[in-house]
Amino acid sequence: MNRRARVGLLLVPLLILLAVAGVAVRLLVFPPPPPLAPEVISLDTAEFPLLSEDPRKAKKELEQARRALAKLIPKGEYIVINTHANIAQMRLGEKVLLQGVCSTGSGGALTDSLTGQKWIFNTPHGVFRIQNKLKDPIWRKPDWAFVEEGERPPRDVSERFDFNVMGDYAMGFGDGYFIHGTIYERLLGISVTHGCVRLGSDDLKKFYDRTKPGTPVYIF
Amino acid sequence: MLLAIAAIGLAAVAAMFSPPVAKFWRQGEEGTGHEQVPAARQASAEPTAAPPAKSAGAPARPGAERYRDAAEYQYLQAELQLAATGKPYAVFIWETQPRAEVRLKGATVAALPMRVEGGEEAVRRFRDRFRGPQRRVLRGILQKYLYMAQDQTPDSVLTIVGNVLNMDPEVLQRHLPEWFELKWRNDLVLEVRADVKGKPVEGVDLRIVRLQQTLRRPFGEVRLRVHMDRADALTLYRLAGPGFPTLSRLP
Repeated sequence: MNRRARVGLLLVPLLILLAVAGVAVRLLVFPPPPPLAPEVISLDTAEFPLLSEDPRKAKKELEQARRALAKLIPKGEYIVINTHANIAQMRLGEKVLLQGVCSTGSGGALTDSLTGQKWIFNTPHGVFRIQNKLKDPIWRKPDWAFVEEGERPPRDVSERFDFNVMGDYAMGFGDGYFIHGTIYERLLGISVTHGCVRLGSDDLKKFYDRTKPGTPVYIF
Repeated sequence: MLLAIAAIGLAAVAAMFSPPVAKFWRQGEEGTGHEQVPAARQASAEPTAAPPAKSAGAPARPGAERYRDAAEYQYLQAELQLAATGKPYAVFIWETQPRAEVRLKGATVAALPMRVEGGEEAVRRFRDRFRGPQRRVLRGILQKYLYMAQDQTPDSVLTIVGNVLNMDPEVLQRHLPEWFELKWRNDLVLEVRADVKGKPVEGVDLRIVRLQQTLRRPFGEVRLRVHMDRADALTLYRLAGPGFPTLSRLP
């Protein structure tokens, strides 16, 4: 074998190795991208109305837009429930007036094996308002509370009342959801509830005292 | 024959690293941004780069003011539309105290302060890339990656709680992120570090992650590293999935 052939034989595996290594590095550094969610495309290509060229019209349009956004900001105090970090706040614009650790919905599911009825224990997200304020609230146990314990829901309503689990105060924000106290204060900060928002007794009193019917409740 | 295969292989690798293919690979609608950042900077200083106007007619107002108003109007319109959806969105605010504000229907529901690494220059590069040549104020998050995290509650506690509540302990667990990234479409990355002592999440090799970060930089990636409080990092991490809307407020 002459010298040229030997160099060639050495060079070929070297080049192949180099090519394979190149592809491997390429895949490692820039792995194939994930499929684009339609929401990403629509957000990244969204078009908005343009400001008028006419200076007077433009000024008016800009003022209108500023006012429209300012209108959305609550004028008074509002409650915020952060279900991600289990934090409850009373806010006034940029200011945080009260803050406490809370517990929110677990996201767990329960199915009644007899009837097939299903419950998912999420705290609802969105904007609500305090509808009522209760002192020494009594819990009227819904069906799932019995199904969870492996019991059948009673026909007699009086068997549904539980006097000791909701703490000293409760504030309803619609559809049977409440901000209330708990006998399991050690679990605050963990998402363990069936959808209601639990607060520790000290925080609950402070929130209760500052809240009025109609106070907005922002849950995210 | 072998020589030919090797040559084709090399050519393929070279092509994969070439800008057009890399652009396609990374789905960057606006390329790597290397060439665009100066354009965006220029735009913010140059009033003539204002977005096209709705109608011609009356004389235009002085350029700089007109440009600022047009940009603010775009921002306001974007936020009004997001507020109308009734879903949360984030607004990045970089002046004085950098923070991400989570808003719901226009109301601030969480302010998440950030300590930025790299100072104003790093922030400016991030902001410019966010806007891009189309001067966008709104973008959706493409991906989030969690590298290091800590379990919020010990498994032993959750096992007891799970038994009491008839629930799977895994459902109750929250992972406090120590290190995660949010990625946008145009090679823009926000790297978040929190004051948590975590461990690498399953399936993540941190050596590869660090190698990737180092090698990507020359290919046009803009990365901003910020530090956050643990509860704030948890909030941002859990909220910001793919498609989560983010706004960058104008300076």
